[in-house]
Amino acid sequence: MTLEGKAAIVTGGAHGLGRAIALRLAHDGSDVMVADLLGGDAEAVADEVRALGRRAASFEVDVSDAGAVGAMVMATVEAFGRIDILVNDAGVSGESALLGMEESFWDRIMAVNLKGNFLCSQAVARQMVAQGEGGRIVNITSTAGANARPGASAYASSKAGIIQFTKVLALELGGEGITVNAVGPGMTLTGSEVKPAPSDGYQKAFVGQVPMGRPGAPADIAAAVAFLASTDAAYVNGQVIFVDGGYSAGKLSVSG
Amino acid sequence: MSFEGKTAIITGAAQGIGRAVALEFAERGANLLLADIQSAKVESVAAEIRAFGSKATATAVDVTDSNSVASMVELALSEFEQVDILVNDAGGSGTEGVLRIEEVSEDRWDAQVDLNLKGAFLCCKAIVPHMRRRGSGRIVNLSSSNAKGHFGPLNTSGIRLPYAAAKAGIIGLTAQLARDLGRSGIYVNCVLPGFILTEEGARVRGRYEELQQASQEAMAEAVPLGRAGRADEVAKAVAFMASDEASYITGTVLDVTGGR
Repeated sequence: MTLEGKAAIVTGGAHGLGRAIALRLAHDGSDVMVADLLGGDAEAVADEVRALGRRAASFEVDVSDAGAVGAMVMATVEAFGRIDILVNDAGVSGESALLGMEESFWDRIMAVNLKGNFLCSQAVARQMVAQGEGGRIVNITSTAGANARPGASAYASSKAGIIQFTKVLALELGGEGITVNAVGPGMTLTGSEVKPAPSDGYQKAFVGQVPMGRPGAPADIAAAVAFLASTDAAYVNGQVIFVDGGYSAGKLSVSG
Repeated sequence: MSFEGKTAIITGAAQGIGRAVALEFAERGANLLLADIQSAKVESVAAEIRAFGSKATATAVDVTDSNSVASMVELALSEFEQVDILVNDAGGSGTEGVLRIEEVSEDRWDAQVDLNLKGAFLCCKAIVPHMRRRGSGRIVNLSSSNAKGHFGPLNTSGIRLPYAAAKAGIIGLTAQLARDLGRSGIYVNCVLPGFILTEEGARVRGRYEELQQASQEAMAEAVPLGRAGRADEVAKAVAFMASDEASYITGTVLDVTGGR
């Protein structure tokens, strides 16, 4: 058990990737705080963590609200006595072309995806520094953070922001023994009820651009997060691992 | 993750990072074909691994020679019947510091690019047909932070211009081969080590230990984590990329640089 005795916070942990990550960290031995805007659903995942034999707690949080984030950190320390791992998975997606985009659409995506990452990282890093034993922060970005597509200016900008935020934090926090890395999923089918899958046409077009020829699964992403959260990745810092079937290595120009 | 029942070929396994990868894979239960141009040294690594109960066979290889590479692959298949993993670690920038392009002769350029880039190509070319037939395989190539122009102080690098170019070439080889093999079940990734101090007596460590203490401290402070990396830390990243944990990762470069 590589994460035995560790305590983790997974934001956005109630569904989809976040849930898979929470369960994977628990499987590897970590206690888990499942934090999500959907507090009831987060508690259901906490129950799944307990069924794996780990301690768990849940917290209803809007990651774009500094007060709520502070309370989440306090509740985690109260539950487990410490925080070793933060996975910033909370995020929202959405498509809107520039010419018709509402300001509120842009603000919402930036608030949750980028400001939420900042608020959670700052609050948890302060706790980790106070503990004095280092820590691990793993941010969830996206292939959209490095690959442009029409309609994704807000989402892609927020995810590109996460990549650079990761690299800067790695420099600032490295001296404290805290590593900061990111995982960039490609198109991943989560089976989540709260986030509908893309249309069949979109899926087909996207997978056509993936060298491995299939979409990702939550377990694919969770395994990379678990690696970065473990001591095996002790000297990996400021990195983005794209878990995307080769999509970011370059798109296929012709089929076959 | 366990490598029980898996077979790996590791080139450049006689010392340094290649040796650390061999030890890490052995600990995880892999059967190993360890190859290096330094045949006596690689045999002693294999003997060390056999002593704690894992299967390891050593062989001499010159990765710049396609016949030698073919013999290496034949030996692996005759010993273990299958090859699941290839780690292309063989390489190096030599023992003589060469800093100016005027001093880089055409012959030395060719020799460096052959060793550090063509060698990986030849090993991939030799193993891919076998992996294609099986519909699975994992290739991990070793690049270097030198590929991005990151060098330590004088003395710790050899003939750095062709070395940097060849190690950057490894990144392109990785991306293109990953795309070409994406549908075949074969994964190709790259690990890019930074400032790594390996075992006592290894070349970079020897040169580092000759530096003034202030220079040593400056090298460590240039790394956000404030220290040199260890060979086993690189080996664990290679093991992740060689394992089924990297189930949807191909064509990527993972820096193991402490954030530098």
